[in-house]
Amino acid sequence: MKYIKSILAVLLCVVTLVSCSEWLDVNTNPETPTSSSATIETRLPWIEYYVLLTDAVAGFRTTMQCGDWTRTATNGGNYFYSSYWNPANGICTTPYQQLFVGGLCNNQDLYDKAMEQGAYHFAAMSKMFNAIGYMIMTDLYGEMPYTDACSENATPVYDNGKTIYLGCLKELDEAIELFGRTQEAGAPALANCDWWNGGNIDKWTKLAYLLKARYGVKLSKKANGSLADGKYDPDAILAALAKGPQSINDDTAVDFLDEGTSFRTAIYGDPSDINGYYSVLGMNAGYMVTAAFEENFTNFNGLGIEDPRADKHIPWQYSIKGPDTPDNVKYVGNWRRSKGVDMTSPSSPVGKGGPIRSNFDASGNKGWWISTEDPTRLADTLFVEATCGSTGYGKEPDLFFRRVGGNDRSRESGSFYARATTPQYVGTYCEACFIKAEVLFNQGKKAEAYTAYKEGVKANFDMMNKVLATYTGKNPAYAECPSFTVMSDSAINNYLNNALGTADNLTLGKIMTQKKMAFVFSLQIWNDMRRYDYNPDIFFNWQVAYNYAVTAATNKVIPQGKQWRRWRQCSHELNYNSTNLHAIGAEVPGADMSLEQWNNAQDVWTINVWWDSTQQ
Amino acid sequence: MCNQKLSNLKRFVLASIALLSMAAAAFAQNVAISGKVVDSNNEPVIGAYVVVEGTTIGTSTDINGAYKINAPANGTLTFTCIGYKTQSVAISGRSVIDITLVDDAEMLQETVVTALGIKKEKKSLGYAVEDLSASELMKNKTANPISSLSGKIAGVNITQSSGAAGSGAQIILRGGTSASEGKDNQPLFVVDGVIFDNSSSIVGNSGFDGSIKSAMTSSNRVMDINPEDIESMSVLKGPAASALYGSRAANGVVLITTKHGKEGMVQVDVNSKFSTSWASRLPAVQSQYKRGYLQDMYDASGKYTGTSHNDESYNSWGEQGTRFYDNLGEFFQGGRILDQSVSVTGGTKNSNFYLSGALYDQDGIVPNTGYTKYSFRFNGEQKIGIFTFTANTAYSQAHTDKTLTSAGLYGASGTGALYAAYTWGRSDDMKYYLNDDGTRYRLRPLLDPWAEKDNPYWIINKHSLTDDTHRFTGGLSVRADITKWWNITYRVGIDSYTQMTANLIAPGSVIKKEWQKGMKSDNTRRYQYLSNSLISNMNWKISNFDFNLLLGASTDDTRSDLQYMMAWNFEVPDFFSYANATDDNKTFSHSASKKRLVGVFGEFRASWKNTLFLTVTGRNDWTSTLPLDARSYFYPSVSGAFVFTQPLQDAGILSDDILSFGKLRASWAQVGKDTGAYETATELWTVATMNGVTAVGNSWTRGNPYLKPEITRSTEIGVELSFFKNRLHFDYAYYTNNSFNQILSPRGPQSTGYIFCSINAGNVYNKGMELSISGTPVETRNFSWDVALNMAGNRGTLDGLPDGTNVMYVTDVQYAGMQAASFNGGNFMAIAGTTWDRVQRVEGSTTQNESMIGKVVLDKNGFPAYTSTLKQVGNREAFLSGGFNNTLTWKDLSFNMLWEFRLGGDVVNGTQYAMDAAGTSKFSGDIRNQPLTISGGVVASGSHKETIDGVETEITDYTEVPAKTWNPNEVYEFNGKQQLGYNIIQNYYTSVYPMESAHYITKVNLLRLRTVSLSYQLPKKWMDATGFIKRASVSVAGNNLLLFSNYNGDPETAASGAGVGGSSSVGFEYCGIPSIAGMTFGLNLTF
Repeated sequence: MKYIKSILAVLLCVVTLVSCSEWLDVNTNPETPTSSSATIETRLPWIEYYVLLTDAVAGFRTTMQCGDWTRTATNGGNYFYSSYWNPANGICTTPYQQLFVGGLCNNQDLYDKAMEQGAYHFAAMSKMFNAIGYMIMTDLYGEMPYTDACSENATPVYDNGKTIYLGCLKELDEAIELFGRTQEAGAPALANCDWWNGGNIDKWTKLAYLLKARYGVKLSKKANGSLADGKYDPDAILAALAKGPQSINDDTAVDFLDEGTSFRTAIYGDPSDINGYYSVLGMNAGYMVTAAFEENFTNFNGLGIEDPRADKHIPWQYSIKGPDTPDNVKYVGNWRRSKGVDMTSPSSPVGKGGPIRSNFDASGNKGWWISTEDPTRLADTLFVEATCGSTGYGKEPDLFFRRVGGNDRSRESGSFYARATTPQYVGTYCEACFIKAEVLFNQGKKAEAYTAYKEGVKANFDMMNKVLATYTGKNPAYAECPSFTVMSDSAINNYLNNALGTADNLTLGKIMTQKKMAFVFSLQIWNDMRRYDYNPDIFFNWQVAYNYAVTAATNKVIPQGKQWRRWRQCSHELNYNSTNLHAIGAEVPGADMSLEQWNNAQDVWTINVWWDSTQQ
Repeated sequence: MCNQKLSNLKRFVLASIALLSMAAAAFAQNVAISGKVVDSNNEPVIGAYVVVEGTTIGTSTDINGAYKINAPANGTLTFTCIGYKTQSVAISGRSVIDITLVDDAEMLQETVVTALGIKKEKKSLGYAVEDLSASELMKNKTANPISSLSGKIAGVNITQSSGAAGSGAQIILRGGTSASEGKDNQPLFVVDGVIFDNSSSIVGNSGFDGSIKSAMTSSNRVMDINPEDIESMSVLKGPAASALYGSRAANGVVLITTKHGKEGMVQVDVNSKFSTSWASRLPAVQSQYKRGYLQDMYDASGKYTGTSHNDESYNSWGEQGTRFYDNLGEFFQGGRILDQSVSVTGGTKNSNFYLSGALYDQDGIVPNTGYTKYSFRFNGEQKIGIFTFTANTAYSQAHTDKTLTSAGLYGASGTGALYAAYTWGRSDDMKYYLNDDGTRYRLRPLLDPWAEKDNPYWIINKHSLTDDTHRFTGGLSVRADITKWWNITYRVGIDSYTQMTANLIAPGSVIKKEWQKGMKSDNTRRYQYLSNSLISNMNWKISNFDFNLLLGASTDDTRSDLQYMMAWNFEVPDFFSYANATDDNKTFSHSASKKRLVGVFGEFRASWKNTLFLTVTGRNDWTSTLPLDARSYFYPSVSGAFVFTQPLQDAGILSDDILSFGKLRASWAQVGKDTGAYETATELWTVATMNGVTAVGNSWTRGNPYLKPEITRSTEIGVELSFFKNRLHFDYAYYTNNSFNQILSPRGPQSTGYIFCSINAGNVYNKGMELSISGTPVETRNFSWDVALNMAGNRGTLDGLPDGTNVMYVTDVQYAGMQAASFNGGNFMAIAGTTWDRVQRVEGSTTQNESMIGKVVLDKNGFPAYTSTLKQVGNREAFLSGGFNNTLTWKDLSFNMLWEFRLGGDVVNGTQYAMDAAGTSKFSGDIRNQPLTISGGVVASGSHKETIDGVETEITDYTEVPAKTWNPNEVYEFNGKQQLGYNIIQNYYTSVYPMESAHYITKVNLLRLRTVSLSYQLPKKWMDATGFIKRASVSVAGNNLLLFSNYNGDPETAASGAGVGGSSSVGFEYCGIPSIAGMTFGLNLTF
């Protein structure tokens, strides 16, 4: 019995354990805090990063569709294809993923907690993030879950473009109202965690109004009416602009530290303290400007006046001028400026498997050279990539990229907007001017439009010079390379006075082309081009690449006579949310609902998004 | 086969019973009788009961089969022993009675180890359990006990993932039950009552240091067991058999019992094996065309001027050459295995022990790869009064040297050694990878150093990729035999290991610029599992009924802990340590998880007259991983068997001459399954600094506070028949095994804000049949031939995924443009891939041109058009697979031959795909200078409208395009420019041909000689002459020597290794270490 007793005792122990539910309460990760424990002060800068990255990725990727940039075929892949309108599904994931998985999954929590604490400015920011983020989504994809996104629903229902559009406008209004409130006592200060605008509520409010104008002008294909109803409303746009940025000091221009020690995110391998365009164009090989781009900057409107910005955007290479160097190549000292890649003629290198990336021969005396026996490709040495250096991430001594490590003779300058420390411009006075110019011009107010137009170009010089001035004196090498020097007042004035034309001969084309030149990698450019149906009179020197017409694959995705109007939904939506995605097709004119999935139609890329259509 | 197997097991069982019964034996005053009980082979029968009929006086035989008993001189002795027919013998005044017990063939196969280690008569089971003895397992010993099961049991699918030293094998019983890639579908392993982890985890930081499944090989952790220590393996195929194990056993259970000492002299066994191995099949290569390509040239006016060879390419689509190297053939070396083990066993009446040590040392067929394992085991048992204390402990150390295989490192444009070896141009000597000064030879100096591809020899000689696993497992149990009919067992078990992975990327490698001065990383994973269980077992008999009641409770506590360190940019050259990198060139992380489970369970068994058997089980689990209101769940099972021959035989209607035994069985079971730790709440990423500001954000996995346990339900019916005095056996089973409301972490629409979210959704259905036929066609005094044939087919399907989710992908498994996938409403083990565009039928149309439907649509170049959308293009599940095992024994010579066969099931030939694209395959050499003709294609020629069901529908019209031929030497207009036909043909085979996935999918039929072995037991007289060797045998075996298959390569493959969850990577081959064949020579000595 003694044994039995002891066994029963053991049994009792086990039973006690069973009843002891605390023993089972171990399902809290000891290493990682749960979502509910995050503070709004730490949540906010996180969302800022991802929304900013979304904007950059959307901007860069769509720029590749707009005729100003291409990539070498060897490095090329999806962006080379985009540059001749052969869209690949591979481009469609990142902006969507950064926005939802990186940013917006945090946004409701930010709003709820901020309102609870009376931190209204944080709540306003939450509204701003939604407006910016979802507007990018509808710009790219047309339809997207919006009201049901980031909810408990594992397969969120889609909203049509109009619902998203109007929702974003409403969120801007809510943000403006919340920015206007005084935060409750004890609520955290925005200044400590907002790395876009340092907690400057005035800038934020002006940005909100600018966005209203930006969104408003996108409705230029709609009937006139109230902006709140999704109609074209010039008065509302101008009214918003009146409350938007009034000088470059009101710009939301995000500066970067480039310290190289910053966090690298799990869904994006690059550091968070560098310019998003640098992350793609500056860090990688093979991106080149096109001949159309070069033409606009060196011969705007055929007047033959070189734009001082040409030196800043078109990349330079350290290069010794040789006897065979063609005359039309610009040299400043031992710096050579890239030529633009011809995209449109039958002899376009793009149509011949090029352009080929030049190599730098450090050992021999070839310097920059092209490895090919094809005589037509030898001139590809004239193309300089946008690759540039960084002191933090790249641990380079300066912002030059050296093709051969340590070899100064292999330096390349990069391009203004794609440097690690160049600010990312979320909303600028410059853009406000161009929107104003367009709206006024279309109202027939040419003189006022001209003022705004000229002011816009000037604002762009100013904002660029503000950055270029930071290089001055830092490093004598910067002074030698025209990519880094401040544009002189005389050159600027010459350009402003002589290249832009007059109020009398102002055309919409000049306004829109100058806007395109001011915002080299902005998503707004693709938006503009779609609004005006890629009209070459409005976008100077625009022409679909030669390769587009002759490549078999492009004829299925963007059949001849049609234009690139949207992106396909990314595979995650096609695979995992197909029922909801197909359902929204019923509200999309042009969607082929006889297919199992309208969004899988080969030419889905050609369906206009809501704001780009006449659908009211 | 069976006799050998069963006699070992039988002895083990009987010895145990003997030990039990001794205490209970009683003695009476009468005549002293002694004697020996032997079986038909004259081997002693241990533990046979000897009872004086009509009394409770009895004893049992000892280790030599001897007994002593006092009995009335006119009485009768009854000799009973499981496995033998009971005999009654009149004493008739004799004092010595020797008895030969006759096998009860029907009984012979009856005791098997079932759940919780309980031995049951097989005929009482309502479900399928099969076991294999040590001797059967040792016939084709491998480093991996799982691999020794291959081909031997119906419904058990084993897939060796590659031929790499130390690579794992996957085991699936009756199909997978979870479509979620994070959830392993392999069965639970239980070793001596303690759950034994069999994960194949790759520890490390994703692709940054090579720690992805396509970049390295991994072991499965059952490999930590020394196969020599295994006494038997019992496979519980379905939930009915394993219901008592609860949550973790939904995929079945493999029970491993390790060896124990026996009463008697101390015995020493020494076992030496030496093996050689070689790559069994290498793909055919072309030896005609050089690395490079033929560049189409144009003059300044754009006029075509011909082609020029350009060698700025890694691919071999260049001009014809004269000098070629056997790069691939010379890359692999002969493998070698030294396998040494020794064991010491012994015992007394009340105690026994087993002590073993083993060394397994393998050099892989890829230079500088290998697998070394040391293992030690001590098993002991001690009886004190009613208590029996048992300890089973093992310690092992395994070390693997491996290499990057198919994938290169993230952030590098390079590749793994194997991919590079398969695709390296043969016009370059691959062995030349270093310059004379020891620096890297640069094949393409024009590229940035980090933009090239690493030479395979650089990778295997300069990088280091190792893992080390130190593991301790042990179980301590005490059993109290309180009465003859009631015992209680308490067991505490531990399974604890530390797995360390170390990677070193050499300076100057093809790796991102930041790591040009080298990178190293170290990962440590500690795993610890602790369990307690208390089980009470009672049995009693009322008239013709036998009853058994088992009640128990258990607790499980599983923890793991991961540490990760990485450093790069080593300041003092060629010295790789954490002290030699600055702080901003280092990173580390740590994570931990803990999960707990409490279960109470019971099993009630009843049987009537050896004819009807019924088992009912129930278990309730409480888990730490589910939300509070869902953490408790109950699940039952019921199974029964009807031995229909028993009453007929009892009544004398049926003799065993023809139908010796017949049984019907049926079972129904339900098992609940919990989930992983921390899935109920959304967590945050590691705190970050965003451009100088501290920031946090939600992780990409959404927690779900509404999770419920997932339920697996299974049914099985079976029939077992034996004929001709048990010379021929049939066993047939039909089963269903369905999992409902699975806890999945599918990739979802990211408009949820997350990439993954654990949800209850999706049902997996498996149904299948298993048949095994075994027998002894010939049996004479000196010669016997045992043969066993088994086959099985499973059909796995999936439905019930969230609305709009059409497919579950296994992320890691993407090769050759195809992906492992489970389609909603389709096959569980499907392949997703692209196809050429074909004219689709418009449902309901009467005006569509029928003759066009299904024809390939051509693009404007006249090539087949394709879309990049993936759809189902194959099913990796075999129609039928099985094994055919033959053992011929002639005196002391034994010959074994194990064949495996398979019908159907698709395999993706990714190696062929990669080599075709690279232009190194023989195929690519053969086709490039042949005219390419495309015929039968159509193009859209317009459209017409038709009203179908009231809807006006536009129907595209097609017209057929005349056949078009491209000659390699002619120039054509293609994509708007003049190109040489050769280049157009290359374009076709590298970018159009692969888009029709079927070109790289083979529906495989195969017949494989898995093993053939010959062993010889040296004559006893020779041994006697030595004076100290008791027994000795020598053996020679060949592994994987013959393969007849319609597949180009070895179709047994799992490109992402074992342990990939969901539909796994089985059936995907992609530039892995080729499978190996080998010969093994062995010597076995017993002292």
